[in-house]
Amino acid sequence: MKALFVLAISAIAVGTFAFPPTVNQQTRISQQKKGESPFVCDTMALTPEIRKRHFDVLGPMLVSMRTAVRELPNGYEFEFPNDERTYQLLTEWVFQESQCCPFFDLDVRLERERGALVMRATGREGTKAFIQNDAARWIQPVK
Amino acid sequence: MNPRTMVAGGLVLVIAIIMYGAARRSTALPGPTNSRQSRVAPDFELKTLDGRVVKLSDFHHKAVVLNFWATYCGPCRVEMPWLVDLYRQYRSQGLEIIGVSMDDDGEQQKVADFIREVGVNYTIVLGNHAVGDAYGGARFLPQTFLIDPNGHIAGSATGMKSKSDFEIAIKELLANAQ
Repeated sequence: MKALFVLAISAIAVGTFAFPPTVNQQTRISQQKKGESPFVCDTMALTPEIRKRHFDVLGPMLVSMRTAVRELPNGYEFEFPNDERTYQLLTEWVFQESQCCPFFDLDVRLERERGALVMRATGREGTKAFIQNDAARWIQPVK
Repeated sequence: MNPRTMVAGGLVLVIAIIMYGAARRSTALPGPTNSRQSRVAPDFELKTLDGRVVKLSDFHHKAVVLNFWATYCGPCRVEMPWLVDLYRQYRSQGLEIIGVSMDDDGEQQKVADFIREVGVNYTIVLGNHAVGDAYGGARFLPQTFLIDPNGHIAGSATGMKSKSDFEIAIKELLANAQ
């Protein structure tokens, strides 16, 4: 058993020196926190046709349909009319968005007693700032 | 052979394979401090919105930030005003920035509108899959490559970075170019 332990430690030591990880040698721009999805757009997630619908049709339509916007500690919450058409448009958009932008937590909630239809966009640190930077139309107050 | 020795030998092999694999993966993102790992940035010929042909080799002897982006990519849109500022600040020190638009065919007007809106002051070219593939696929945007004056890839990043991350990397790239 002792021999086994010594061999395992030796293997780790040899491996460390023989094949050093180069992550620390990367320039700072390459650094990512472990286990976190980077802020990226997956270009393969949507076809060009669906992408066009997502960004040119569904997004602007849903922005105009908002009935309330609420700021959260880690993102935003948007209220919509609780009807079948809006629900379908919203869930279509949410699914596409989650495919394209994997760093978002997206929740769709139907409140009790036929209350509001709510979509929440949150995520890890930086997500709220990202929304503020890139989605000004979404977070502007509803008139 | 003693069974314990055989198990230990197997363990050594498995650990060595795992560590070799990890090392191979990480060299896909070489850093400027390890020239042994740098590879030549693939040259390309791409057109600007007004039809001018731009080659990467036109920027030989410059420190180049090559940024793959698209108008539909939120993280790319956030980064671009930072790149505008940094280009303004470091251009005189030999920095060049090339933005490669990976928008879908037929979206040139959208690209033109966006770069006018943001006031992009650096070179924007219209990308294609061949160039994307040459740089590893460019599936996830934004994707940025730091290219030294010798035309080698000195660093790269996938995903949005902060303005200060960019600035630190640009300073490092320019310092190594002296």
